[in-house]
Amino acid sequence: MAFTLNVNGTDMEVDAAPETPLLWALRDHLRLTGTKFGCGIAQCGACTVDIDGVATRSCQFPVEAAEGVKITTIEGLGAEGEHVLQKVWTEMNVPQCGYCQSGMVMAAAALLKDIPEPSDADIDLYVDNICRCGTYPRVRQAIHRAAELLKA
Amino acid sequence: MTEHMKLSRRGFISTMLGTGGALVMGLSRPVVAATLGAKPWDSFGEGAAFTPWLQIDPTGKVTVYVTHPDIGNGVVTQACSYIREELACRWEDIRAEYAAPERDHALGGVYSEVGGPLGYFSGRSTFEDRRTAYMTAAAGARERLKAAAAEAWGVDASEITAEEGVLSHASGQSAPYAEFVAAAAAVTLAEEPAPKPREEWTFLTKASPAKIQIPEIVTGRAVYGLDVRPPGMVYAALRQSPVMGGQLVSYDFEAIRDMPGVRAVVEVKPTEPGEPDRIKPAFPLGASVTGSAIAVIADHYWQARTALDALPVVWDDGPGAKWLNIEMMEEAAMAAVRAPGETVELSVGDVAAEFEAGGTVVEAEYLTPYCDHVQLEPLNCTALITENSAEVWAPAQHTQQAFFVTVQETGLAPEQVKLHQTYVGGGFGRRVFGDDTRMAVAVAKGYPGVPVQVIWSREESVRQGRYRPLMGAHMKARLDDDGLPSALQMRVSGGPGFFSNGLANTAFPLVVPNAQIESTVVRDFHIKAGPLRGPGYNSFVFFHESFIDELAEAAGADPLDYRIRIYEKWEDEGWVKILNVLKEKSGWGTPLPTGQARGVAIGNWGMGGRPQHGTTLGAVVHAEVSTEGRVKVHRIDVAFDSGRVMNRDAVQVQLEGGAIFGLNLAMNEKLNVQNGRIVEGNYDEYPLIRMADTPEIHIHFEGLTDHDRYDEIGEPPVGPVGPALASAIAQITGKRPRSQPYREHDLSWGGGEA
Amino acid sequence: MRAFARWFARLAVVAVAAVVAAYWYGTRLPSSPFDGVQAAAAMPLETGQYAARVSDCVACHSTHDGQPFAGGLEMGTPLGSIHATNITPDPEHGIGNYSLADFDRAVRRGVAPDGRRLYPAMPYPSYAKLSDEDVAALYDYFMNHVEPVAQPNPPSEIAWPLNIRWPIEAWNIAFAPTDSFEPDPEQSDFWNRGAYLVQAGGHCGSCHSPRGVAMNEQGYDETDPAFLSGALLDGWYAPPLRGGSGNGIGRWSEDELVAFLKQGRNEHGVVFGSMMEAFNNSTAFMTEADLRAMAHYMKSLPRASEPLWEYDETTTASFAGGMAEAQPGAQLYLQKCSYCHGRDGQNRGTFIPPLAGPSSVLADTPASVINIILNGAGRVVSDGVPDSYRMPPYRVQLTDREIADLATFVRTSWGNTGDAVTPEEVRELRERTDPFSDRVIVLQMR
Ligand code: FES
Ligand code: FES
Repeated sequence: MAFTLNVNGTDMEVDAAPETPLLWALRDHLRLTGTKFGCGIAQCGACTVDIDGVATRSCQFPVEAAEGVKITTIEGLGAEGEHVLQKVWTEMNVPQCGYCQSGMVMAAAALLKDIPEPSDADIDLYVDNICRCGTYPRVRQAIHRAAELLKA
Repeated sequence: MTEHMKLSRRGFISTMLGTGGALVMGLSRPVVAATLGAKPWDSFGEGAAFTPWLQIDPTGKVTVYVTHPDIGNGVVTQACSYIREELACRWEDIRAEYAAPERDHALGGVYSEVGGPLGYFSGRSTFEDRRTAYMTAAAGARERLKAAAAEAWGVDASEITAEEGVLSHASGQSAPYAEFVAAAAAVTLAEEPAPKPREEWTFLTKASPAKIQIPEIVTGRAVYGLDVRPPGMVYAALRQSPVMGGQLVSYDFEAIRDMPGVRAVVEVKPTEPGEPDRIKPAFPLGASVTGSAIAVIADHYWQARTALDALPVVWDDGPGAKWLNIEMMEEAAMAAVRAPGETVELSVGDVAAEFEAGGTVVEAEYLTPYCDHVQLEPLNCTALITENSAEVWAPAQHTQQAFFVTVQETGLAPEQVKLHQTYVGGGFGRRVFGDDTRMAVAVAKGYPGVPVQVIWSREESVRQGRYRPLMGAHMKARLDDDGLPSALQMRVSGGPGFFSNGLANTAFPLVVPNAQIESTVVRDFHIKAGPLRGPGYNSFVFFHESFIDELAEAAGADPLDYRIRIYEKWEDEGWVKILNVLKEKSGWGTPLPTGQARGVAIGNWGMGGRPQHGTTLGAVVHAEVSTEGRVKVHRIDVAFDSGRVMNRDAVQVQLEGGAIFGLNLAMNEKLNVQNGRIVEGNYDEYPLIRMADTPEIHIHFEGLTDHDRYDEIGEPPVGPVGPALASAIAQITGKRPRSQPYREHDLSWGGGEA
Repeated sequence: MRAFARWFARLAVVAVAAVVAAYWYGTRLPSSPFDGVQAAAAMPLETGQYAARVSDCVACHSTHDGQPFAGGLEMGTPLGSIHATNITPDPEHGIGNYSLADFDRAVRRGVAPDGRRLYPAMPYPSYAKLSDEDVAALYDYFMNHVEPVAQPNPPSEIAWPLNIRWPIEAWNIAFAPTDSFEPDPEQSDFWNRGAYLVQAGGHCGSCHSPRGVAMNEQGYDETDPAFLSGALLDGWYAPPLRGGSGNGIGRWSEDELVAFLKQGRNEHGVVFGSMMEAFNNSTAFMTEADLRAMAHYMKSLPRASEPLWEYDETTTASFAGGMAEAQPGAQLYLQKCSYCHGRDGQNRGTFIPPLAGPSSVLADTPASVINIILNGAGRVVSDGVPDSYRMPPYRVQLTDREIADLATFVRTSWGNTGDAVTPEEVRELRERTDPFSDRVIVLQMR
C-alpha cells in the first residue's frame, strides 16, 4: 500500500504493508538510516523520532498511522550539525559508540522544547533511552549546557 | 618512490605522490607487490606496492588510515592525535579512514604487524608500537614539507617551523602545507626523523580532543553495519537453533512463499572450523563456527522478519535441552567447586598444612551468571558473494578476523575478498570472533550475486550470544593472629570457553603466603561463552574482593584499611595509592544516614602477575537500600593507575561508562535457561540502567603513579564496582549478596516495611 | 436409648441408600441421541476442523510445545491442578475407543464412557447447545483427521476425597443446562446463527459471564441479563459482550467487532490476555459470515445503563511544561508509556490500542490493567503471521508501587473512570502470575 509521509518537511512516498513500523519505512524505504534499530519493542529509544512535537519510538508506530503527521528525524534536526544539541554533544564528547545517540538527541530536543530549563528529574523522565556504553552522565551535563546556551 | 628508514623487519617508510598531487606516507613492499600486478587499489590512490598510513591532499586535508575499529573507546581519535602531534597540522583538517585488511594481507601484513595478532583489534590504541608507527609516518611527512619549503624559499630546512598547518621562516616567508604537498612527495630525506620524545609533546597528554567522528554521529550520517545500503541490497532475517548445538530438521517454505517481498529461504549448515593454510587469524577460527540456522530473504527487512516469524520450522534441540532450568546449571557449577579442581592454576606454599593449623577459617561460595553484551546495535553483517569474489561490510571488533573468516567461509583466495569496516554500535567483546561475519557470508552464499544484509533481531542477538560465562567459586582462607590471610584456597568452575586465564595473575593470591587456585571445566554446558568487557576479571574481582570483605569482617577491620594492609605487600605501589586516594576523596568514614553505606573494592586488569602492569582500579560505592530492599546507588568514586594517560577526557568517559557497565552486571544482569534455551530476549526482561538510575560518578586521576605505560581503560572499572556495592549492601542489610545480580536477592531489612 | 439406636440405624440405612442412589446417579451414563448409532462415513477434513476451531478445543487440549490435542495443559483450581486430557484418537491414552455416543456424552454432558464426571473446566454446559451435526463433525475430525499421540494423561493433583467425581453430578443438576439450542422464532436466521455460535461452540460465557458461588455461570443465553455481562477470570477482566448501548462494544460498530474477531484488532483495541489465545486459536479461523452473525447477536443484547465515557482533553494538556509537580503516575506514564501510547492516550492506527475509554480500563476491577503492565501481551497471530506490536512486560522494571501509580493514572485520565489501584493489588497479581510461583494462575475455568 502506498503511504505519503511528511518527513523532515518533505512529502515522501512509501509502498509498504500498513503494519510496517515507521522505523523500517524510514530506514529501508526512505534510506534515512540515522534512526536506529535497537530493540523493536519501544524499550531502548534508539529509534526515537519527533512526531508532531512529541518524541515517539518509531519501531512501535505503524506506518498506517504516520500519514498526516509531521515527522522529524535526526537528519532533519540539523543536517549540518547546527542544532545546539549537536554542537554541545560534539564539544562535550558525549557519544561513545554513538549508536544510541541519535535517539538520545531526539529525546533531548523534545525535552528542551517542552521544558527549556529542565531539572535533573525532568531529564530522567524525558530521556529514558538505553545507552549500553553508559553515556548518561555526559548526556545529562550536555542537556544542561544546551539549556544554558539557549537561554543566553 | 623512495625508501628510507627501516620501520620493521619487512616494511619501509616511503612516500608517494597520490591522486591529484597528494602526499602519501606509508610503507612499501616491492617484493610482494610484484606478484600482485600493477592494478591500482581504488580507495588508496595509485601504486600497487604502496600502503598508506597518512595522506595529505593538495588542499591540506589529512587522512589517517586506522587499523583498529572504534567501538566507542576513541581509538580512531587516538591515532589521529599521534599524527597531530608530529605533523602539527590543524586538528580540523584531520579525518580518518579504516585501513583495508585485504591490502594488509596482499602486502604481507604492513598494517597488522604493528600490534601483532591484535593489529586490527579495537582496543589498545595507546600501546607503544602503535604510537611509534603513526608518529614516525607523521614526522616523515612534516620533514618533507619543511624540506620542500626550504628548497623553494632558499633557506635551511632546520630553520623552518611547522605549526597549525602552516610552514614559516624567520625571514617572514610563510605558507600553508597545501602549497608544498606535491613537492614534498618527491623529497628524499637523508634520514627519517624519529618520533619526538615525551618531554617535547605539545598535543599528546596535553589536549583532550573529543572523538573526531561525533559530527557524523549526531547528524545521523555515520554508517553502522545496519546502515550500509549497497545497490540492489536485500535483507535476511535470521534464526538459529534455539538450543545451542541443536539442528534444523525441516521447514516449510511453501507456507511463506507468497508473502510480500519474500525471495528465498536459505538454510545454513553448521561449519567445521578447520585451519586455512594461507591465513593466520588473530583469534582461533573455532570460535567463529556457526550453528544450524535458517534465514528468510526479502526485499525489505520487515518483510523478511514477518515471513520468518510465520515460517514453520522444526528443530532437534540436541543434548543441551537436558538443562531444564538455570538452577540445574548453577548446581552443576557449584558441585564442581566443592571438590578439588582439575587444573591447578597457582600453588604457593602449603595451603593444606595451614588449614590444619586451626584458628579462624572463613569459607564462602559465589556465583556469577550468564550475561549478554546487549550491545545496542544488534548483530548484523552485509555480504555480496559471487563465484569469484566476496565483498563484506562488517561492524567488526577485529577487522582482520572478519576478513579471514570470509576467506575461509567462501573458499576464495584472499585477493578475491574485500572487507569494509563500518561504524560499530558497541562491541564489549561480542564482535571479536567473526561468527557474525561467517553467518552472514554463509547466508549470502546461498543467495549469491546481490548484497544481503543479515540482521539478528534483538531477541536473536541476545539468545545467540557468546556470554560472560556462568562461574562458580569456592573460597576458603585462614586468618593469622594479625587478622590477615595466611592461606587462600580458591576453586573456580565454568563451562567450556570460560576464562581461567588471569585467575592466578592478580595481586591478591600473590600476596598471601600460602595460596592454591584450582579450576574445573563443566564440560556439558552447551551454552557458548566469550569475552565480555573484562573477561574472567569481571567475575574474579567479585569473588576475591567480596571474600576479602568477609575476611575484614571476620578480623573486625575496616574494609578499606584492611585492603591497604593486604595490598601494601604487593610490589606495585599503585594499589595502596589508589586506596588512599579513595579514602580521602569518597568521604570514607564520614557518617551516613541509616540505610546507607559505602563499600570498596579494587582490582587490576592486565597485570599478568607482574607489578607495574595493566591498570589497577579501585571504587567506592555509596548506596542506599530501602527497608523493602530496593537498592539505590548514590555515588561511585573511582581511582585508578594506568601508569599515565594520553587523553584525559577520553579516559574519564571510558571510566564513567565502565563504572555503569560494572554496576549493571552486578545489579541487574542474568540470563535464565529453560529446556536448554536462553529465556530472555530483549530489554524488557533484561533490564539495563537508565538515566534515572545513574549515580554521580567521580573519577580521580590522583591514583596515577606516572609509571611509563598508558594501559587499558575500558575494562578495569567493570570488576570492582560490583563487589564494592555488595559490601555496601551487606553493611546496610546484614545480607551479603554472594551471587549476581543483586536484584534477585531479597534485600529487605528491619522488618521490611516502607 | 434403644429408640435412639433404632432411629440412628434407620437414618444410617436411609443415608447409605441415598449415597448409593447418588453414586448410581452420579456414575450412570445419560442417554445420547447417538446411542446405537454408527458414525457416518468420513467427512471432509474442513467440516470437523471448522467445528473444532469454533469450539477452540486446541486452547486447552494442547500445550505450547506439545502435539495438537495430546492434552497436558495444567489448570490451576482452588483444590489443586488438573490437566486437560489427550483427545487424539490414540486408543490407550486418547479417545480412540470412544463411540460417537461416548464422545457426545463427554462433550455435551461432561460424562466419560466409564461414567466418571468431568470437571466443569470442560465447558460442557455450553457445549450442551451444540447441534447433533456439529457433534458428529467434531467426532469425525478427531477420529479421522487428528494424528494419534501416545501421550499419557498426567494424574490430577486434587487429593482424596475431593477427587471423587460422582458428586459433580449434583453440581450438574443444579447448574448445568442440558437443553439443546432453541432458535428464537422472533429473530432472523442470521441472529440465531450468531446466538448459536456465541452460546454453544464459542462458549463466550465461560469467560465473559459472571459466576456464582459454585463457579457456575450466571445464565447461558440472553434471557438472563447477567449473561455475557463481564467477569473477572484468571487475573483478566473479560468485558461485557452486550453491545446494545453504553461503553465497550456498545461504542463499536458491527464491522469493527468483526474486524476485532478476524484480525485481532481495530481502532478500539487489540486482543490481549486470554482473548488473545481465543483469537489466535479460534476466531481468527472463523468465516466472515459467522463472525458477522456473532457480532450482530452481541450488538443486539441490551445492557444495563451506565455512565458513558467521554474523552477528556485535560490530561493531554497537563503534559506540556514541567512535570515536577505531576503525580508519580503521570511522571511514570511520560517516562515509560507515552512513547507508544502518546500523551493523548489514543490509538495509533489499529496496532497501538487506545488507553482512553476501553472497557478494561473503565471496569470496576483493575485486574487487566495491572496484569498487562506486569506481564505484557503475547503476539497476535493474524493470518498465520505473528505481529510485532506487543506490549512488553514491566515485571522486572517496575515495583508494585510504581505499577499501582501507573495503573491509577491510566484509570483516572482522559475521562476514564476507574478507581485508584493499590500496591497490594499489584503484589497479589504479581505473585499469582509469576510462572515460578506455587500460586500461579494458569487457568481456573474456561
Ligand atoms: S528500537 Fe525502538 S525503542 Fe528500541
Ligand atoms: S553510545 Fe553506545 S550505546 Fe550509547
